[in-house]
Amino acid sequence: MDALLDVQGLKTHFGSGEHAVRAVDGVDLAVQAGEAMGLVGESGCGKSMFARSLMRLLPPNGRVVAGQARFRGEDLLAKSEAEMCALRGSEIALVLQNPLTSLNPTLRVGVQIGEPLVAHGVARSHRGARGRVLELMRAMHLPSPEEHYRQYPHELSGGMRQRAVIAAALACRPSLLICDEPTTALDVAVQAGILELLREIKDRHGAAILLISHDVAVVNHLCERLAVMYAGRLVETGPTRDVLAAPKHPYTQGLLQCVPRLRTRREMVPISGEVPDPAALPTGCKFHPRCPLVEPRCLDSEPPLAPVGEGRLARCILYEQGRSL
Amino acid sequence: MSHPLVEAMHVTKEFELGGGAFGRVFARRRRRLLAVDDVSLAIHQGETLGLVGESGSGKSTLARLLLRLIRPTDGGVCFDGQDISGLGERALRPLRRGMQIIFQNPYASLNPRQSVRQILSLPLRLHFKMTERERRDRLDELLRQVGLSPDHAGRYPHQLSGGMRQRVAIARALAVRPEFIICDEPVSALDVSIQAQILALLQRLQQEFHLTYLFISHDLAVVRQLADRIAVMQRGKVVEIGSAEQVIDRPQHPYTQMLLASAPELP
Repeated sequence: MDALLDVQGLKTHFGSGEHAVRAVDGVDLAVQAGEAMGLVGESGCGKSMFARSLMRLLPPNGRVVAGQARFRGEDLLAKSEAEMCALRGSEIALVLQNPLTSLNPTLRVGVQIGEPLVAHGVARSHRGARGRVLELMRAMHLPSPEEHYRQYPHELSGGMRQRAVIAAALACRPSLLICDEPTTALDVAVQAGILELLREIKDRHGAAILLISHDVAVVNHLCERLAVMYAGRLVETGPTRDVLAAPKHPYTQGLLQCVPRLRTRREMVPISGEVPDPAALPTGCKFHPRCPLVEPRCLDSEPPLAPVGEGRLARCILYEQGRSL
Repeated sequence: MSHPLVEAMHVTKEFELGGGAFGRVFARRRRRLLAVDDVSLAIHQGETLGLVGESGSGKSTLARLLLRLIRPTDGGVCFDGQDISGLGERALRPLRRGMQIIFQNPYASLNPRQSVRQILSLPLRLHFKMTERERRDRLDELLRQVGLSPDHAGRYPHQLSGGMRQRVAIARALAVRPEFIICDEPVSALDVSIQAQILALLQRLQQEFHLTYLFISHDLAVVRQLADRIAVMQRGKVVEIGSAEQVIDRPQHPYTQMLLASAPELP
């Protein structure tokens, strides 16, 4: 089966020449229809710029320099701006971390949820969209839709605002929902509610979700598969359960050891050093300066993503062909 | 059991909302917010008390009351057996050496126009009589203790990464050789690999200098790693307090149970 979204060799750079910041530097990632895929990484690894590249919403100094992003077989990166406008908010929708900046403070919430319906011609007017908007608000478990319809964003709590943003994102029944840190600014109980809602959207509405997060536990909660990103590339992908049970890449192993567990208290084993500056990446494997298993060969060339098990890939010389797993 | 180093006795803090122009003109419109509501707790020498709760539960206000950065509306605060709730700034000053605080965002708590050397020198100047040479040595020692090198002394906050900035904030707290440090969400803004570095550093420093911590976080799993005991706050009240194992494994209060059930977990 062809993937709903199939990204190949995506590279997004800022600036040019020797000092170019290689924010995304060759990412291959596929999302199947109806699945939830998690993209995990620390700040500066390029995960948000990856999402923005797909949506063609990069800051002015950023540009995609290579790669393809096939959505239903058509390359998003080759589309005209008008074609992208027709897709954004109808076929592909984006939910960002801070709902207060996603929402217009001067417009009523109901009008904003109905905006994509009007913009994409599903409804002729906001009045015509009202019924569908109220229905969406109910589906998002907003407590009193009629009242919230008339309210402004500042009158809603953080969790309700994020529900309103998700309602707007789902208005045109997109087949792909990209969520970039959708719960990071929220309290833990509110976060649990939003994650539950995303699960419902996947199960009931059949939308595929690309969930971008720094929090492995959040991804684990929702996603069947995950990809771990480091310094602009993927270092490991596979079924979430398998990767978390037995991570293959030294970075994934280190990352999971850093995550504090609720049920056990143990010695913290931090990864030494810091994330490299994307304008001055190390040679060879980008993780080698922090890797506990580094060998001289790691400095020479970057290993490819190699199979490390059923549906799993890892980018490490440990798993290059000819070596045993 | 050792005597409490820090103690809150029925401490209450009420804020007046709408204190702006309208609040003053329309006095009736003033609303009151009970940020901390009759909280009593004790923190013992050498222990780490974890304080968890959602945003707005009063954690940070309680921290500021314990340090007497703000005055309680009612109730008392003791430090090392002395009631400090009524003391003036002058009387507090010698006590301030014993208590320090590390904030969530070191970018906001470090002066951007001062080098690391200037930032760390100030507490040394304020609290100790030292020669220039002694101060330089102490500065190098502080930087080493938090995992930085003497080369970092000349840098400014914007030239440091988030993790390094937090190390500077920790060094500044250590400079006065305190007994008690409040860590107010010290790792919430950091990436998980850096978070683990800072938590490990805080653990090491506690052992080395026999520090007493109040460790505040919204993240139960983070608190679990450091705390001997955990207090849970909801709407200004401490609703549950007990050993870390007890609170996490056998929570009694429905609010604690809800927090634990909401936290996404790893296998």
